Amino acid sequence: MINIALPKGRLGNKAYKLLETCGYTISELMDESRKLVFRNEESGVQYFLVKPTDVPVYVSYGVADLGVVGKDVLIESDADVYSLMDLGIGKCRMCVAAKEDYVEDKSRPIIVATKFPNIAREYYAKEDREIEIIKLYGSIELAPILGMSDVIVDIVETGTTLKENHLKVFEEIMPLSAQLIANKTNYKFKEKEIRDVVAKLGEAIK
Amino acid sequence: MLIDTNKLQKDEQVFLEMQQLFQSKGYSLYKMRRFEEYSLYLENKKFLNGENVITFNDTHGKLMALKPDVTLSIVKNARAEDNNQKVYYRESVYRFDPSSSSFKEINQLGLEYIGEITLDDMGTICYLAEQALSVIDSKFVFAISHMGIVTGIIEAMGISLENRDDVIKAIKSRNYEQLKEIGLKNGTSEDVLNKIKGIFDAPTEFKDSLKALKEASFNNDIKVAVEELEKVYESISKISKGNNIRLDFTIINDIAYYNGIIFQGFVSKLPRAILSGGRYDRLLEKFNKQKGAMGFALSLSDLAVYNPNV
Repeated sequence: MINIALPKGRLGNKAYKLLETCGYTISELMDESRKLVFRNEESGVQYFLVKPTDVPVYVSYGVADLGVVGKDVLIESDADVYSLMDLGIGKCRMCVAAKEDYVEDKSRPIIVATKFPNIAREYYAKEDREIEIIKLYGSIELAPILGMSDVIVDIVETGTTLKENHLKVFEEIMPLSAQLIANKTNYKFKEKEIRDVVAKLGEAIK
Repeated sequence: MLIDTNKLQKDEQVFLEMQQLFQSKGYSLYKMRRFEEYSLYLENKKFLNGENVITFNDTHGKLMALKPDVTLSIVKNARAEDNNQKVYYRESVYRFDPSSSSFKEINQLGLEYIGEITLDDMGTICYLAEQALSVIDSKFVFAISHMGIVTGIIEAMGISLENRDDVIKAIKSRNYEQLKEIGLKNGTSEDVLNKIKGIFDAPTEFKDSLKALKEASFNNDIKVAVEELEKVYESISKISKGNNIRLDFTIINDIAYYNGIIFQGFVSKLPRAILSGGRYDRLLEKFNKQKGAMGFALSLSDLAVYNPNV
């Protein structure tokens, strides 16, 4: 039995569709039920639906052998797991954005609002730039509009939200997409099954 | 008084059984005090993999620390005139635990060999580590590797010192795509990248993995690694069945201290490695001691948490 942690929401649905084409089917998973655990003896798979930021936690504690997680969440969590493949879904970018007329004041640290403090800290450390971080949990775009921060470090998919709020991308930090992660211990005990999933997924995304 | 070891907690049972086995191979118990001068840890920060140590001033105002590690103290105290020092210990170490943002006491069982280390000695140390795992759980994996694999890959890829950590991160997370990206940015040839892919693609079954490494022997580091791994595997196989041995190149210890054979142990109920160790001659060089050194430690505290009962 392979245990897979999927993130609730759009990315999880996309990931499930991929896994479904590989034969890891559970018909009730796509229903609007409130169940969190889905099991199919025949295809030898059990799915857990969890909050996206919790996927690396379930995998690093080994309850889930595998997990699907955005690269943003994975890097931010710094979980000690294997990152076996890029699934090529949920593609977007981690960017620095600010008001359209923003000009950086080099005489003082930059005030950064973000959901991803670790990624922001690492990026600005490489740029040798001092920053102040304001951690937010949503509607990050509001921070520069209200003057609480100079810039934001956030995920940009189409850029529509930024545009509607008169913000624009100043730097791209990294491209993002969904990763298939694995627990390092479970990989040792279920290597054959896990390699099987990876091979099938590799074929499916070709 | 007779003690029925089967009724003991798992950590106690493992200690008693391993103590007997260690002694039968000529290792003797090493007892030490709980604290050490802080400067020892300050100078060897990287060996500890983290800098948080509990410190206090002694009665003379000297800055002391509760031990975060035992190996450093054994190495520091190893005397040049002692030939081969074979010791085991059961000690508490005090480390910062990021998940709870606080300090944690960890009870460790470990073994160190300082001196002239032959291939057979290396085989015996691996065997003892393997035995410790089998006492904990019949379902275990002893995963072995060699520091020459990672240094060989770094050299073959033509990676500069500043990008070294990124390569190590990619290997540790078994992420070939990321490694390839770094290679392409640094002008690594396609041939080298393909051979590295062969290492990533191979199963960790010892023979399959060794074969992939042999095919990728692009430099001396990897050649030496392959040779030593093969010989140590033979040596372990002489004394143990060797069914649970895997060759896993994603195991990497700090390059500044470790060289040669390295390994980790996994048991089915624990989400992370319970045992880790390897050859660390470079640490002795830092103490100006021209000797070989190899050892391992296993966390009895983790056992008590995840696998308390027999």
